[in-house]
Amino acid sequence: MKLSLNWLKELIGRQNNITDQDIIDALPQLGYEVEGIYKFDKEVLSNIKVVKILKVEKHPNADKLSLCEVTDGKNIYKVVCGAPNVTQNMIAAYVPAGGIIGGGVVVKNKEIRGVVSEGMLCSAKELKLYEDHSGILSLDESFPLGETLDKHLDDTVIEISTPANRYDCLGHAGIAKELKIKFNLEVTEHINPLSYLENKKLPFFNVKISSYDLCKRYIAINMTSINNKVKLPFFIRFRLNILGLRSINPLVDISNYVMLEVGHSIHIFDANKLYGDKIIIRNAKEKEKVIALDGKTYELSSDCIVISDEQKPIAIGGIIGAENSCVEDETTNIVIESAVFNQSKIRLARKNLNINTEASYRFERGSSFFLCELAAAKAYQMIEKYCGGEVVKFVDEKDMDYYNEIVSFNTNGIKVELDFLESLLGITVDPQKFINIVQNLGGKIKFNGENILTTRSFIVVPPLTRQDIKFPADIAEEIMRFIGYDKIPETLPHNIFEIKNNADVLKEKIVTILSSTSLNEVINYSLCSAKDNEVVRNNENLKIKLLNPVSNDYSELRLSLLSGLIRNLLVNYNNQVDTEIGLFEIGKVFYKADKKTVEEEKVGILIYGKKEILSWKKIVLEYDFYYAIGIIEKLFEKLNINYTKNLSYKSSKEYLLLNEEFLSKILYFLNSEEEIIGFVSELNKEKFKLKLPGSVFYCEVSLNNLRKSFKKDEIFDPIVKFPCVFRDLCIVVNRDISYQQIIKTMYSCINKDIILDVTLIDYYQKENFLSLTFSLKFQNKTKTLTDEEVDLIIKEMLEKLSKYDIKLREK
Amino acid sequence: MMKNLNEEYIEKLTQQCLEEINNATSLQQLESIRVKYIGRKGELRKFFEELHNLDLEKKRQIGSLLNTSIRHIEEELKSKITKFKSSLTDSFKGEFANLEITLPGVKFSLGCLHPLNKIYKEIIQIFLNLGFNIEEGPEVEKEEYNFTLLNIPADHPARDMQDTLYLLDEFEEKLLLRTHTSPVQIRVMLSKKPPIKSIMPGRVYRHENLDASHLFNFHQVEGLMVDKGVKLSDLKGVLTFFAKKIFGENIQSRFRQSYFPFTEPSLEMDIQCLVCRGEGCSVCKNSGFVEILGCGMVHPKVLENVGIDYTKYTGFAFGLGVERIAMLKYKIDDIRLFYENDLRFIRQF
Repeated sequence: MKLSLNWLKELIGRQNNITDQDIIDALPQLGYEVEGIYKFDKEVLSNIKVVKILKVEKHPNADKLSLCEVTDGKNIYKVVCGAPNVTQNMIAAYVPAGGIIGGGVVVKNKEIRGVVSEGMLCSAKELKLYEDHSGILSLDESFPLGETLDKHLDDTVIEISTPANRYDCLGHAGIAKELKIKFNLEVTEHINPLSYLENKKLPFFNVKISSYDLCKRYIAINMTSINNKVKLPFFIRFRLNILGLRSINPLVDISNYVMLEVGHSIHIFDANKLYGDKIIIRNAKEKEKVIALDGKTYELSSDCIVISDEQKPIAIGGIIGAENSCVEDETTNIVIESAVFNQSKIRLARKNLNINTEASYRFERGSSFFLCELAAAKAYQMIEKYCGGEVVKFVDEKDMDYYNEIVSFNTNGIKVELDFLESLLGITVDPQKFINIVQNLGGKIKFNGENILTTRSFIVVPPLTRQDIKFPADIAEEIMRFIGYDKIPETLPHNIFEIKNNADVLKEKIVTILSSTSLNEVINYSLCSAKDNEVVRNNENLKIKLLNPVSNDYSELRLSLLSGLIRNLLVNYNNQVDTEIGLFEIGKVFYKADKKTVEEEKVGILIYGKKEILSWKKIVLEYDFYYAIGIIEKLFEKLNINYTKNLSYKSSKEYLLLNEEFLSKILYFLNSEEEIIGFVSELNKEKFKLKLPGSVFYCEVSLNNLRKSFKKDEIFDPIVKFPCVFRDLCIVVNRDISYQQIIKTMYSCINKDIILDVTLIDYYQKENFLSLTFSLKFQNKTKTLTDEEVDLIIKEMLEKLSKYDIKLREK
Repeated sequence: MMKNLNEEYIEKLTQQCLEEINNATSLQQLESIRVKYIGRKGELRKFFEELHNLDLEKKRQIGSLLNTSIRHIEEELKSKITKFKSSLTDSFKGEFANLEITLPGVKFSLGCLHPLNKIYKEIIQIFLNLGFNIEEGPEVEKEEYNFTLLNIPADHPARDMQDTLYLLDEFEEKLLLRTHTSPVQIRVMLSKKPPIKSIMPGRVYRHENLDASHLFNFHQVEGLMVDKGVKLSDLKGVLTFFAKKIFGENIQSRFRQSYFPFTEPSLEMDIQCLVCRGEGCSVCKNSGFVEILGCGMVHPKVLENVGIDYTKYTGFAFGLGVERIAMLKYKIDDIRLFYENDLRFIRQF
């Protein structure tokens, strides 16, 4: 919301000498963030003189230019002007040669189509006041001729954000009131602003509210004999303009001016354009069409509020008026509308119609019964003052039950204990200060007891405008807004150091292990495209789609971490950072099962390229399928997880599996319950349209399934001091047997005292047999192992292996 | 018993072997030295077969000496072999010695943690140290938990503060992607009795178009403390402590009035701008301060909604954006960098 600091200062009272800076500093403390400050350019304005246009003639050589004689009270200047609005007797802004205007332009006496122009007449834009370049700035008689403009147009416009619950502060008056309380100035309330009209016993204007759910109060004031061709004082038009509302005609300008001051939006209809003598507030008919003041046609749904005469809609209630009933220059007979509309309905309609107006901005935040009548009163009084006319009919239709509810709440008030305030805030609250703040807010204080200064319990009756104040905590906030949060000390809660660390150890361990293998952690969006989710089997049934996605690229929740990691691979491959791209992400994937949503944490690992250390010492390690397996094996080893490896899986109903066509290889890791705890795969690059050399490997680990067998405690294995015995064993395999079976067989040959460490150090395939060379490391926990003992073990191993057609390789 | 099975001889043999290794000029020579001394039938190795003839004490001494000697020889062999294999022979001697010794070390790569996770951990650790525990909840939430119970009624402009991503309507109730981690506060308060002292870290979602300062998903850490006698000054104390731990002991902070439907009073906390140190610059819009979090005393209506007696218990709550803290701390100017995962970015942390 934009505010003029001059206007605020005027409402606060000039005599109080509040400065711009005082206001700018106080607003944030009160909860109004200052989002922008636009100060008029004094340097430009100090060059500009007030002049009167004495004569306007057509330029002899150009149709669209005028030749003007202007005076600053002393001299007469001849100026060429192209503005369409230049007229005789106009008071205008004139810049003589040598002056600088907006955009850093230095004005010169220059010949325009054969006539020399001495300086120029300026538009608001050229003076850097507001964006209007359609004509020259039209001042009025209140500006003394010859004086420079910086003395008369010194203002600053600020833009503030208002809290969503403070509908009483959507205008200058509301903010000025807040500032007055902050600055300890007396606040005066307008009481019964419409009492004058009520007392006149005017005939009723016929208004029918079809349901109070739409509108809780509707004030209609019918005025006749209006002159809408007058010129409003400069300051009214000027304030509208600098606050972003274009000056249109006196009636429209007055309704906008009232809104900007009071903070309540009103509307004015041309009464002669209404059919019949009744205004009806009703739900819109389905698909009812309204051509609005912005020239657009809106098709309404039945939850919109419509204001209509006996024939047609004349406004979309609380949002925008219809073209068919708008006031124009010729208008003489009007109805002023000031109403309280249902804020939810306004918000819904505003969203559905995709329209944002000053009115909808205010009504959807709520509106006050009190400001509603204040705005109505202010409007008819201003119209009487500037456009003449008289009020002939008047009505104030309201939901009396609701009204009584507010009033009764206000008589009952809120019980506030100072002890409660003090224990909530952690400061001592001075009763006198407390009372002052409540009273300045317009609230009333009731209490029992003799001495106000020794009373600890009060009844606070908030002002009618503040229906947001309902709890003692609300009063606490009011107190703090005016005392300032810097007065609150810093304390620590009484039980602050009872530590109960419940951090996720498994996740932390995984991050540590994976980053120690030189993989880098990444974080991707959890939203993805439909195409991204295609990598997962049965994705159509599993995926969760958004109703209102930001874009098609992010329209579903991810089923897999893979697509994000591939995107990261490409970013880094294209950047050519280095040849090694090793990434991992721990994140949630989302799917639906039995009409419910499931969130599951996975670890995704993607490796590509080679660990090539660019150095004068050549160190190269190609990433391949077995490196990927190594990462998973190392991870499980460090986490103490038992697993088996398998090319297929049996039961995996709860696992999100990748579509096989996207993979060229896959190996599953299963726990003892045959659940998948992870897999290692090589991607089918063609399916992913990956245009890069070499292979890409993706591994995944299921945190859920891993968690079942993960134990937090680590137990120390004593270090064995006895020497190791090393042997190489070279065997030939010619049958389909898994590596794990071979290893298992080897381990079955040792007793519990022996520690065996098996490393495959050579592998080759020849014709129909495989040759495997192992390096075996033996150690006995209790004594020194002899060669003979080791020989015996190896002999047993070979015997057992021979059952699988495995024998020692001959030289 | 073998006549040479004594310490003196073993040491002599070892010395002799080391000398031969030192003088060796080829890998083949080294291999034959290995076979000669420590191969399976090597001169030193074969002593092991004789050990059983010695008495226990002697056996241990000689055995240990043999092991040490063999290991020493193995190491020497290994380093000599490496030397032969490497392009630089004869370590750091001769006219290029100076250059050689100053050549760069091997540039190996380290695995790095994502900066967001680093700061996430840092934030969480501070609150863990203050006795808060961690509570987590689903990212797909019910409207009731995300809004209604938090005192944000339907069609209230407060919902505009958090434009929401909704799921397609195919579930039993209306579901959305949580716009803050506050629904976890509701879940905790519904399931536990005070005292409650928890933080709620997690991912949250808003209907925002991506730009340098907006994302449709980001991370939050919220905190909640509900007990008898929890005060606004406690909130101020905890958050000031937090700011000092994250941004340094000298950081200035201030609290401002704000509005959230679920707290009353509601505040925002600013810290001194880290770019200009309070002087005023474009980052802090010349105010000298930047906002880091929103907080306040839990609204009585919220306590009432979860069945906590607001006349007996009070509480404070706060919520901060992890990306925002990371951006301020590391002076990152584009929030999208966190999700691009360019290794040139990640490796800086």
